Amino acid sequence: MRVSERQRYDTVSNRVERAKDQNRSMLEQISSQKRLNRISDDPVGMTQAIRTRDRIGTVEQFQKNTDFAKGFLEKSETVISQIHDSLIRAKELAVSMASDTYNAPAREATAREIKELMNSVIQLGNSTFGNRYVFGGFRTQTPPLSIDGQFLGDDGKIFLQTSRDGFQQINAAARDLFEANPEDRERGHFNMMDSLEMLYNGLNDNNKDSIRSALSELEYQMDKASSFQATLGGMWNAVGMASERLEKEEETARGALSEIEDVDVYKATSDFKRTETILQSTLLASTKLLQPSLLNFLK
Amino acid sequence: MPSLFHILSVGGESLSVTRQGVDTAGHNIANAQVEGYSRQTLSVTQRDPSLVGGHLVGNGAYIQSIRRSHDQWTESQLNNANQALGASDAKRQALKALESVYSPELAAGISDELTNFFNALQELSNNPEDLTVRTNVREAAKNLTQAFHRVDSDLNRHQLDLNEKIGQEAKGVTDRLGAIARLNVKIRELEATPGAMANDLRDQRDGLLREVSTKLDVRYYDDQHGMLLIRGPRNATLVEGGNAVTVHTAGNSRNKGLSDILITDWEGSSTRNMTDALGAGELAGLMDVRDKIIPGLVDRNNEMAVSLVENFNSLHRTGFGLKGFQETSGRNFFAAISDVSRAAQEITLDTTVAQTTDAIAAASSPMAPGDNVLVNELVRLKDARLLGNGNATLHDYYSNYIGNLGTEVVRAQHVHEANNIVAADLKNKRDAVAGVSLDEEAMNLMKWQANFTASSKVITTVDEMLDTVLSLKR
Repeated sequence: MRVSERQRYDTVSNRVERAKDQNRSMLEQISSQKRLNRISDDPVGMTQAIRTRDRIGTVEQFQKNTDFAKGFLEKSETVISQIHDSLIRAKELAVSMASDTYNAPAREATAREIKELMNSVIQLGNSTFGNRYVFGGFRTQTPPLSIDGQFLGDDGKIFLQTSRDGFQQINAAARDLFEANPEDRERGHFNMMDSLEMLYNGLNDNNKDSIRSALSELEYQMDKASSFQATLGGMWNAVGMASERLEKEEETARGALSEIEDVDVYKATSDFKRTETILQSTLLASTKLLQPSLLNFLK
Repeated sequence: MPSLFHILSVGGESLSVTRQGVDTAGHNIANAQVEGYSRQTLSVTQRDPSLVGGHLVGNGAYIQSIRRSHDQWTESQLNNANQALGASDAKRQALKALESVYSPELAAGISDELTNFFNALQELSNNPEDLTVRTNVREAAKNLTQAFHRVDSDLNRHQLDLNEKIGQEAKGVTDRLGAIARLNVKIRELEATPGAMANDLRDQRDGLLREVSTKLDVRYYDDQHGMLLIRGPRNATLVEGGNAVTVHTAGNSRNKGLSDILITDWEGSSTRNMTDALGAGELAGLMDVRDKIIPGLVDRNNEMAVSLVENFNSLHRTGFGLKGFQETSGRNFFAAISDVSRAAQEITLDTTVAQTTDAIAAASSPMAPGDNVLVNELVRLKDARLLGNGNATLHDYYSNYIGNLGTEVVRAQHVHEANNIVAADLKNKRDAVAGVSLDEEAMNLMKWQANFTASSKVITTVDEMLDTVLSLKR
């Protein structure tokens, strides 16, 4: 075959060009540490990367949600256990005051302590997490308990999203805690504040019978507080499990993203070395190829 | 018996033939690196003999013609390959530029902003009454609308760039067609002399033809005067003899004012629209990206914006806000889209929401600042299959359409590589025939030089013989 000068130069420049391009592309991978530098590098991988990146962002947000939920539940739980403690204290006082050993002045003095307990329960019932009242349902901006202990909140159930299709409730119905429901009312039970009020009045009136009935009523209130606490505990466990799941999910997603996007450094480096060798040998061969001509030997 | 003067004239002619040989070799060497130059060869033929004294006596040699080594068949294959190559190259380059709109390194892409927006809504679900959180939702929504705007305006900018490039290409085609017509006339004039071949002008004309064929879909042949006749799309005559048409562009109001390709004949009497008939060549590749691929992406972007706005608003209208808005519902979050085909450009916040974040509805019941029921429903839109006939979430749709663009780029690259290999192979084939080899020319030089020496020897020999004849008289 006849070989013209232009063929030789074209061949050389094409080869050098190709070797340089491969070398450049490997250099880009190494310097950016990314396998995907533009969408055409791997369209399918790119699609997955976009979804995975969204997944990671969402999971991080879910983790924030669970952190918030944990905080909210922990605050509610602390408050409810303090209310429980107040009820226990009230019950202890009621037990001792129900015996015959105390006289009217002693019972009046105790009544004052009960009043203090009542105020502290109202204060506890109006506890806030951040700037929201924890027991008000959706009415988070107004105190859920009035000065005389009436429940002013609503039955709003607050849910937060903790997984792709899972919403987690983070507040229990505080109305059930502070108010006796109609059935219980028929059975002769009262609201929490009314029970304490009964004790207070009994002590002030020096009436052993009403102190005793208040005593049994307080046990009913304590039962409710314990079961309320247990409900919150159950919610906390569910949130805690969700949060552990999310941590694992984030780890998996990050791993997957890195798999798609990031360059395998060892492979990239060795590929870079390989393309470099190709480029150098192409250049070396080119100088040899382009030099000789009959003209060099004509004297 | 021929006279000594006959031998002298044969020797003299031989001298001029060999000189021409060296001249042609020199011309070849000078043009060895010129793109499109075809190697020239001297065609030397023996003269008819004459009958002298009963014998047929040879009359030496003369230059019949100087020809170029040129393979018409390869050349026409190459021109065909160039049309496909031009189209795929233009498409590949345009798409390469286009994919930067969706570069993964860009942190503020639509998909990231969507994630951020829905995360801000999650925060709102945690703290529906918090002013900072509400402001954050509004800002995230603004960023999202800006991401839509950016993609839309980037796509439009690329479309306008391509449009401008199409105008320039059209002008380039007109210039080259005119140059071919002028060369047609010159070649006809020069070749009027019998045996004369306008090799160098033909090389130039072939070069121009190659350039035209990378840009436009053309067919061509030589007429009886050696003038090139070129036909383009829809069989329109582009060059005939010394005349060439004008290829130009004009805005089409039905296509957003983007240019149509028009061909006006040399008399200026008729104009034809070729926009839909460009089969191959760069212009066809550019048109494909400008009129099919980019509008497709713009539509997809609009579709996403419309779906987001409509679904989000229809839920948002059922909800209640804070303070002054806690008892009223029916407000949009995004301003309603008036023109679906401009949705990505139009998408913006509702004016009330933009003014006060209290208007953002998180609650499904009135007077309930802590109510996050509605915002929890809004949050679910992220995973709702709103698009593609209920098959794709917003993110799915976005990543799919980007994936499709990526595949399109890869396909264009592969097509281009394949076309490139075909074209390079044909070019190699052409250069094997038409290209100059310095070794060969070196041998030609040696050959003609030796011949020149020998021819001179003939003349000096005759000279000596004449001296001998003249000395007879002494």
